Amino acid sequence: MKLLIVDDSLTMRDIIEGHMTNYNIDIVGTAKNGVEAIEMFKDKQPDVVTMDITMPEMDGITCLENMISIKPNTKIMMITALNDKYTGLQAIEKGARGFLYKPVNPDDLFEAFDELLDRV
Amino acid sequence: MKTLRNLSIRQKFLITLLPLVLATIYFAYSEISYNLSTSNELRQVSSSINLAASISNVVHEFQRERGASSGYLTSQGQAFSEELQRIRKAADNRIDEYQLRTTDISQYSAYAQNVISDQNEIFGRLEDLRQDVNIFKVTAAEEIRLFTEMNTASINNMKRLGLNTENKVVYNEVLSLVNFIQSKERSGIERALLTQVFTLGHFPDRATYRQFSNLVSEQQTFLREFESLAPATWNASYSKALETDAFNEDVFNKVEEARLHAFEQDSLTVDPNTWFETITGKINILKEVEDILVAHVVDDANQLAAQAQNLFFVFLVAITLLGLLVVFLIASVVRKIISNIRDLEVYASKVSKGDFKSNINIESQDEIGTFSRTLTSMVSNIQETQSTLRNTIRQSEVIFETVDQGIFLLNKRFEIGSLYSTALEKIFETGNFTGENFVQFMRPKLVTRDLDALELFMKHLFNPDVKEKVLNKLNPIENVEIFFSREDESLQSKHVRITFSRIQEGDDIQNILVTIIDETENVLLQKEIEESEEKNKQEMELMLSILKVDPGALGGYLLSAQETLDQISDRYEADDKKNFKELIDFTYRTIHTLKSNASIIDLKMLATRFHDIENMVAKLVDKELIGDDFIPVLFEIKEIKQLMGEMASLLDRVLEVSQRATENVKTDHTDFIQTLKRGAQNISRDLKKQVDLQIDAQGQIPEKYKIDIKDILTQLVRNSLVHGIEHQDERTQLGKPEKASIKIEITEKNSSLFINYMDDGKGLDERAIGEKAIADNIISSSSELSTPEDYKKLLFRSGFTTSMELSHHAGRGQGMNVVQSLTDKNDGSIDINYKTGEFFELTLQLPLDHSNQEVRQSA
Repeated sequence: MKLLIVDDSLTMRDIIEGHMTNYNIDIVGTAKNGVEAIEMFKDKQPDVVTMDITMPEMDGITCLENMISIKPNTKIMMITALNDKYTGLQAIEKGARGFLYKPVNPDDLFEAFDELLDRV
Repeated sequence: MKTLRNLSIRQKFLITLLPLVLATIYFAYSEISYNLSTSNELRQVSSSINLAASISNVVHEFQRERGASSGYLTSQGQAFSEELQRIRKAADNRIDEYQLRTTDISQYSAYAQNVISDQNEIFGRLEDLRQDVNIFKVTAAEEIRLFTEMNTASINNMKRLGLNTENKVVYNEVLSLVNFIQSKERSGIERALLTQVFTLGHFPDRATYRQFSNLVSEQQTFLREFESLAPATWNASYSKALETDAFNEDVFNKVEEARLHAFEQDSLTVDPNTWFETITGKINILKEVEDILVAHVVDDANQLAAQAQNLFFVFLVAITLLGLLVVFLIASVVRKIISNIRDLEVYASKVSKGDFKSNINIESQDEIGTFSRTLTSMVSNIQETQSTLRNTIRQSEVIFETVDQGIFLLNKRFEIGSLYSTALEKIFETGNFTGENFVQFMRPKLVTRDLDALELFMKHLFNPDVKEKVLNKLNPIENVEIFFSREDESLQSKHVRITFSRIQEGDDIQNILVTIIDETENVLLQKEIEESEEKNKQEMELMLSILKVDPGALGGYLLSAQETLDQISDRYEADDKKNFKELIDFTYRTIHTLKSNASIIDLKMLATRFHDIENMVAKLVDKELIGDDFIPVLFEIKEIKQLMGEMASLLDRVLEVSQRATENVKTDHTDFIQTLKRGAQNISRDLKKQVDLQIDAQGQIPEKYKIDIKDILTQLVRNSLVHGIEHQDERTQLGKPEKASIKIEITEKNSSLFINYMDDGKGLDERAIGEKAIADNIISSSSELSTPEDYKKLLFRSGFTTSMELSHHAGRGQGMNVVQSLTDKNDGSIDINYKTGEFFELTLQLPLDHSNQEVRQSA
């Protein structure tokens, strides 16, 4: 199972990466904006992606929409500080199937991934 | 088939039984008509046989006539003449009897009628033959032949008449009889023949002899036939008849002899008459037998006819009765079935309308009976089930009425179900939720963005691809404030918490369970807690500030402030709503002072509040005022007074405590001076201007002036620091010491209190004053300013300031104005001296009332 981490904040990327190394998954890369994310997605072909919403160049919603159209069964977990429910629901509408609010602690993260990957 | 299906039972029975009934009727009819026709036929047969018998009688006579005619002809009329006549008469009688029988021709069948006409034709030949015999036109042989022909034909007709039956018994009897008659006929022929022969004394030729032999054998044959066909009784009768005495054996022996010796000349010694009589005797006996037999046959035919007729009647009656019985039985059965079915239908209909008390009692053990028992038990099952169901519904009703939250189900079209908790109605203060679209229902209660989010959210609630846990993190109406207008058109708001749960079976999400909890109380409680915490915080601040501040100064301040504020409200009440402008100005000035003073004694909180009120009032300064405008201000003033009241009481308590602890009694002077110094320090620190404040209080300040003097001096200090005294750098440039100096002298002289104030700042900047005045539209040009008096006047004018900066300490040109009004209030006077760039001096003179003052020499 390959994971790609997308967030415009380096701190956030490090935190998520740090937590996820303790989880049963292969981290194949990190990206700091939507454009980079798409490139890495095409290159590394991850099965799972964590996605921030507010990012420069290309926002999380557009990015995930692109990824889904490239590989429709990609599992995308939104990790965002954005409290706006409407935007969050738009992510679901575009194909995201996981959701977490920042800040994330390891327990919440693992639980959400277990749900997303049907590892219950 | 469909039409057949839809008929009633009765009609169905009718239709299916109809062919059978028709067939039965047909066969019955056939049978009956057969019996009837048999009966009729046998009757006719009986008639025919009687008629045949009558023909036989004629034939019998013809046989005699034949013989007699033969003798007559052969003897050329010498013999048999009389007998012939006699015999002819007898024959005619028999013919008459025959005719009599044929008058009613209808009793005979068509066939018989044909025979009758044939027979009539035969009898028609008689007269001619008789004539011919009379005139010897025919030979004996011919005559015999002709009569024989007639007899043969007649016997044949008898046969035809008698055998025209299908009844085997009758047929055989008739056939037997006919054979008998034919045998008798042969005897007749034999009589005629032998009469001729005996008359001649010999057989005339071989042919005759052959004829005779044939006759004998034919007789035998016919007799044998008769015997074989005849019923037993007939043979008996025949045998019996032959045993009579009339039977002359002798002659027959002789005949037998004759036969054996036929061709011997003169061997035939029998007397023709004797022969004739004898043979006639035999023939008569045969005739008697024949009559008996005929009677038998007729009897039998009649009997059979009667039997057939009986059978016909019996059959008719039996069929009718049977038919009626069957019809009756079928009708009863059908009626019973139909009645049972109707009973069942009535019962079922009652049950379907809810009447479970009715009964049905069909005792029969047939299918309908079984069905009715099954139906009864089914009904009682239904009753039980209904009662259980009712119970369950009642329980769920109770739950739904009692439960505190609004609970309901949504289907895939987001429609609210028919079952929901009573609490839902209480929350939304409306009923009739069933069938409502939830999203439409929430539309007027939410903002657009929330509504869009809700639509997306609801859509994915039914999407099994999205996990419920994930989706519930994005519930846009988890906590929402809803507004709705009541009947009295007032706007009501409630805080509700709305959660969603999926109801799914396998992969299919069928419904969503929605729970709505009214959290208004909680929210309001939360707010109250927050407010009370805020209040506590304020009170803490208050406490701290009180503890920080010099109690004397604080107490004095609070007292004077409260009084001052009272002045404002008094003025407002006194005012006839005419002089708002003055009121506003007064209020502004007062608030300004209070603010400054609060600032000086470091009551930051109060200073801030006064600042807010000052802003509020400032807005009204340039406005067209109406009475109502002032009300918010009054309100704020009231609030702040209350606050200050609380502070005062707090302070009292603190003082109690501290007074018990210390014996620290400060002199008024020291308090006063300390306060001023502290205030100055604060301001200088804030403005970053160093100042040295020297206060020399020689005179006693009377109580009544203390506060005002303090205010005035405070204002002056502030003004100096803000407006008058230059920054350090500027001072250095000007050759002034870095630290500014402010000197205050308080002296008593000639029943007046003199307060001299002097700072070494820039004095009055006449040009700046002039420019500012023009800029502020107070004067139109600097030409209006010539003497120092003019500048001084400006200085004291309300709304005038040379500082652009707004700060807590001073920001508006109310400073000197305040000084002016305070001085005026106390009947004092002000004198100003200045030198631009060097110093500013103000001398305040206040009258002293010796009678009231406290004289103390301490400093």
